[in-house]
Amino acid sequence: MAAALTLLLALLLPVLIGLAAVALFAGRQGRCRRADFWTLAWAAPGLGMGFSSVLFFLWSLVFYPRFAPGLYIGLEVLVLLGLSAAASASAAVRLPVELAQPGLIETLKQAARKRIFTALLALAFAASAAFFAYRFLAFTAQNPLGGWDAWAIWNYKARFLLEGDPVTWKRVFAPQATHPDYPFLLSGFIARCWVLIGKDRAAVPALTAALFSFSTVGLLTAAVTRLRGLNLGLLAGTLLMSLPVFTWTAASQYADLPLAFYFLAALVCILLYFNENRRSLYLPAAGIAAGFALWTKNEGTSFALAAGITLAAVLFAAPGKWKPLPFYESKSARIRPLLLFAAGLLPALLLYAAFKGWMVPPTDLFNRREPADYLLLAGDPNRWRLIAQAVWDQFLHWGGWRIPFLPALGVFLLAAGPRLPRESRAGVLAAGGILALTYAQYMAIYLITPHDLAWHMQTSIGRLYNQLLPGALLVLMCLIRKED
Amino acid sequence: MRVKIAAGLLALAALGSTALLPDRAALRVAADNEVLVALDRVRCVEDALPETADLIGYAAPEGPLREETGRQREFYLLRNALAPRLVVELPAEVLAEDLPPVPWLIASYTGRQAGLDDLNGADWTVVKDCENGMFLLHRPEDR
Repeated sequence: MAAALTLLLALLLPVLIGLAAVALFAGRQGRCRRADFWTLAWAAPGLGMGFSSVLFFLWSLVFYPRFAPGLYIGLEVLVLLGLSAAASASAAVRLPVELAQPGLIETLKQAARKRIFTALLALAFAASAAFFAYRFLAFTAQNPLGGWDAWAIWNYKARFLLEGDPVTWKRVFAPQATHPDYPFLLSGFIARCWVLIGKDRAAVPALTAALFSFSTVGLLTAAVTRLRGLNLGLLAGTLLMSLPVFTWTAASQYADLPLAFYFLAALVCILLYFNENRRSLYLPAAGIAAGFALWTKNEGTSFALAAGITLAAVLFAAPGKWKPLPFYESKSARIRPLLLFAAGLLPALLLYAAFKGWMVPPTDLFNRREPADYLLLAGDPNRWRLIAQAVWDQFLHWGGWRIPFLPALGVFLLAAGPRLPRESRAGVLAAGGILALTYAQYMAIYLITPHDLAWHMQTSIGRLYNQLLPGALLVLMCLIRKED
Repeated sequence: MRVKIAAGLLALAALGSTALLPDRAALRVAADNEVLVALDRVRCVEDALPETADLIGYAAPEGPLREETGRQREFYLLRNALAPRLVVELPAEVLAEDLPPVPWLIASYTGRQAGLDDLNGADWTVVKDCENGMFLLHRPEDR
């Protein structure tokens, strides 16, 4: 009973920290404050788990994890109080509610009163959610320890913090450990909960996966509702939950789900920033989410790099009708958003750099060859052909639907008719560009991988698509005309 | 209207695919869950290891690890179960080496008798015979 209550507290605290952070990001000025809060509130569990995991890792480095867990809880409570105080101070300038656009819950209430089509979509969403929950539970019941990577990598790393002593837990970074260079967000959060309850309960990784699933579906639905209306919001959530690959990623307790969530959260913040109100705190929030992605998996570096490059391109080099509105008059005004994004990214970037530079051996992708070898690999036409073939196969078969999912999305886009209002273009260009550049980097890594290419792609390409899925659905829905 | 028709059709396609449900029995833990069975098998050696054993070898003399999912699964589960000790994969020839790289070795066989036959005459001390084909072996480095 005591362990259950401690676990409840261990999961509740990050959610509260996430909510306080969201209140800070969305607070103070701008006519859409309230609606933005209710959009970003769905991201609170995921963001909060990121904050807690980073805090616990730093605490472990200094004090070793099992040293006075009560004191550690006190530290998280202090963070919560600090964020709440900052959010409360920033919300001091209150705006009339009628100026705010409705958030997801308010929109649902309005829609329930007058729209039959929306009600049908809501039913589809509810059915999809019920089936998703059933399949998640079924997979978890059959595989209590999650999928292969969960027990071979992510939960394995967490056990070092639970079972080790001040010296032995750091063996997790030794070359003989499994993928010692993999970042620590997911393992760190699971270890934090295990240390707080004092044992390695299989329920912890499963609940963590459930919270990330909830956060991802909720944020996608709410963000598309906010940007393109409730019908498309419900459709986006329905699509995500209907995909067997999403259920599998979530229930397998893989780090690809948290990564997909942080990609999505960063893109939502960037879209909200460009779309309407230019609330400056959205960019550090996007940077924080990109930083958490960095601390979740090595693929996060591709995303963070893509985000920096694309933001700079949109701010400085977007062609005529794609320039942000209102247009930035001066160069310094255009640099400021970049600096804000970098400010949010910086803490995780420093942690990641220190981790990679001093704590772990180099990643297996870059420690085997001379630069000339990579050029040779990249110039091999056979590798290009293999990658193109794999991309085509994914296009036709990825997703697990009865009909090909990606072609179906293409047909939907053409049938619905893409239409981007002028004020939305810069945001969609930025979000779409970030995803495209991230994807291009993924494929470039395949080109130079020192592993057997066929084996490498076979074991990972589907998961790369899973990582980009929620963000891609967000961008796709933003290409559709906004409802009245 | 175009958007509504397209959205409606896509939602129907989503629901059509969602209806691929596992049967109700799927909500129970499968008694023959391969991971749990393998984890039970490897946990046997856990209690017999002294605190000082921090680097342990693993060898599956009956076949190369890479080609056999079952062996790989066992190796990674062993790593999981024995953390924060480190477990490294070694070739089967380690059993015959004069100077093995590790003093502790877990040898995994498909059956107990196969293991006893193979270990007969080997220069390692059997510290624990799990009777399921897993053996914890010891050989002091200064021997």
